[in-house]
Amino acid sequence: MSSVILKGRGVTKKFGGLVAVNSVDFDIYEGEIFGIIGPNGAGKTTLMNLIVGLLPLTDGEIYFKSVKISGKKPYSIARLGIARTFQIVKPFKGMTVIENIMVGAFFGHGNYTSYREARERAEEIAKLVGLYEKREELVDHLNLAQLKRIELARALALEPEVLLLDEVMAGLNPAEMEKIMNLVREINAKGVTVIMIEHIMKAVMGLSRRMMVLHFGTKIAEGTPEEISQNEEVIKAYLGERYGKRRKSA
Amino acid sequence: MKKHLIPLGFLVLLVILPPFLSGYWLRILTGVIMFATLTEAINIIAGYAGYPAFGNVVFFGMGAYVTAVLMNHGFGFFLTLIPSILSAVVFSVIIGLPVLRLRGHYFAIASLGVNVAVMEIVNNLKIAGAAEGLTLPLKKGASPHAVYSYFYYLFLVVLVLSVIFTIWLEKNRFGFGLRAIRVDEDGALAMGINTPLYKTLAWAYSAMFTAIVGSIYAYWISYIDPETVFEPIISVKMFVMMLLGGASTVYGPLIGAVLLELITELVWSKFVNIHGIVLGAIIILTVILIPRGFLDLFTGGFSWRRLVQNIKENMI
Repeated sequence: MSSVILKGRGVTKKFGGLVAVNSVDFDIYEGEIFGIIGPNGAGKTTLMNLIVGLLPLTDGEIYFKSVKISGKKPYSIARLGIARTFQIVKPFKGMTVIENIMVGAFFGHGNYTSYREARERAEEIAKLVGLYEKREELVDHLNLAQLKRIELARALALEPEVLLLDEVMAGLNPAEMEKIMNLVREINAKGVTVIMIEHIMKAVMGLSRRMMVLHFGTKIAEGTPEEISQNEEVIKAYLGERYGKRRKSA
Repeated sequence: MKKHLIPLGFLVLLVILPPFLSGYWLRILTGVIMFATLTEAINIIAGYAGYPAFGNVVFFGMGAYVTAVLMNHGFGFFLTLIPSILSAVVFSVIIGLPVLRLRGHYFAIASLGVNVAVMEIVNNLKIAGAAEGLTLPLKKGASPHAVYSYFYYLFLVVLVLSVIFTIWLEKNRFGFGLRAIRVDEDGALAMGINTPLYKTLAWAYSAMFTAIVGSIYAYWISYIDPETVFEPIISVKMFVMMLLGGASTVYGPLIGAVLLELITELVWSKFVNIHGIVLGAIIILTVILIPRGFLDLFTGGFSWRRLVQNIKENMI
C-alpha cells in the first residue's frame, strides 16, 4: 500500500459545550479517493475546516506527510499543497472566470509570480474543467454548476497534492453530477489525493474505495463502500430505517 | 495599453496648462489633483481590499504635522517627506495589526476612532502648537503664480506615481490578493493568501501616499491646525469621490475627484448653507444610479439600459 499523506490523531473540536468533532483518527493514503459521509450536523465540514486550518483544533494533531499542520495558518497549509472547495460556493465576484482561477495559480503550491505564467496555468485548468469558453465572463453571471467548476478549478490551480471537496455534488442535477464525477476521476488519475465530503451516496460510493462515517462528531465506521453499506450501525444512524428496509426488499 | 492613452493625453494637457491659467483656476486644479491622489490612495484599502478606512485622513494630518513641525525646526521640505512617510507607514502597521481584524462597519468605526483620537492628542501637543495650529515658512518664488505652479506640479508628480502603482497592482499578484480579500476573506485564506499581511501592506501603502499629500498640503497652505487636517469630512469626500468614479478601478477615483471637486467649487460656494444637502444628494444618486461608479457606465459604450437596470435594482 502507498504511504499515508494525511494523518489525524484524536482530532477534536468543541464549540463551547458542543463537541462537533470527537477524537477522530484517520489515515488517508496517497493517490486514493477517500469519502467522508454522515448526516447533517455530523461534523463533516467542521473536520474539513480543521484540516485546512480555518478552525483551530481543541485537541489532537493533523499531519501532512510528516509535517504537523494543525496550528498552522490556513494560507500556509494551502501553500503546502492542501486545497479545498467550499460547500457554499465562494467565487470572487467582480472578477472574471480566468481571474478567479489565476488567484489559485498566484498563491498556490506552484508559486507562479508573473501575470503571464499565472494566466497560462489558469487557462490550462479552465480547459480541464470545461470553462475555457467562459474565461472572460464575470463569475457573477454563472450558474451553480459552473460555480462548482470554478471552485474546483481554483483549488486545482493551487496545484495541490490533497484536494478536499466539500459537497461538490450538492444542488446539481444527475447529468451535471455525472460530469463532475468524471472530472474528479480525471483529477485523481493525475495523482491528486481526493477527500470527498458528500451527502449523495451514489457519488461517494461510486468514486471512493475507502470511506468513513461520522455521526454526532464521532467516527462510527470505516471501510470499503460495501462494508459501509452492510454496517448495521451506519444503516441505523445515517441511512435510516427506511433505507434499511428498502435495501432488504431490493 | 490602449485604455491608458486617453489618460495620457489628459496628463500632457495638465503639464502644459499652468502658464495659461489664472491663479484662481490654478488653485482649483491643484485641489482637484490633491483629492485625486488622496482618493487613489484610499482606493487601495477601501476599493481593492474592501476595508472602508473612514479614518484615512489621519495619515493626511500626520504627514502635514510632521512636515510643519520639522520645517519650523529648520529642515528643508523634501527632507521632511521621509519622516512623514515613515511615521504614517509605521503608525498604519501598528494600528492596522489589531484594527484590520475587524470587518465592515466595525473597521470603519474603529479607523474613524483612531482619527479622532490622534486629532485630540495633537490638539494638546505643545510641540505641534496644540489647538492653535502651526505656521510654516512660506515658499519663496519669482511670483505668486510661480509658487502656485510649483505646488501644482508637486501634487501632479505624486498623483502620477500613485496611478502608476495602481496600474501595476491591476496585473499583479498583490492586486489579485487584495481583490480576493474584498470578496471573501475565508475564500482568500483557503486560496493561500496571507490576508493579515496583505491587508496591512495595503493600508500602509494607502497611508504613505496620503501622508505625502498631507505634507505638500501643509507647505502649500502654510498654516495648519488639527481641526482642518484631521477633519473626518475629508475622508468622506475621498469615499464619495471613489464611489462616484468607480471603486477598485485605476481611473475611477480620478474621475470622481474631478466631478466632486468641481461641483464643490462651482456650486457649493454659491450655496454655502445647503452644501450638506448637495453632498447627501450626490451620495444617494450615486448609489441608486451608478453603484459601480461613473466609469462603469461608459465602459463598453454608454447604455441607457444599464442605467435603467441600475435604477430598478437599487430603488428603495
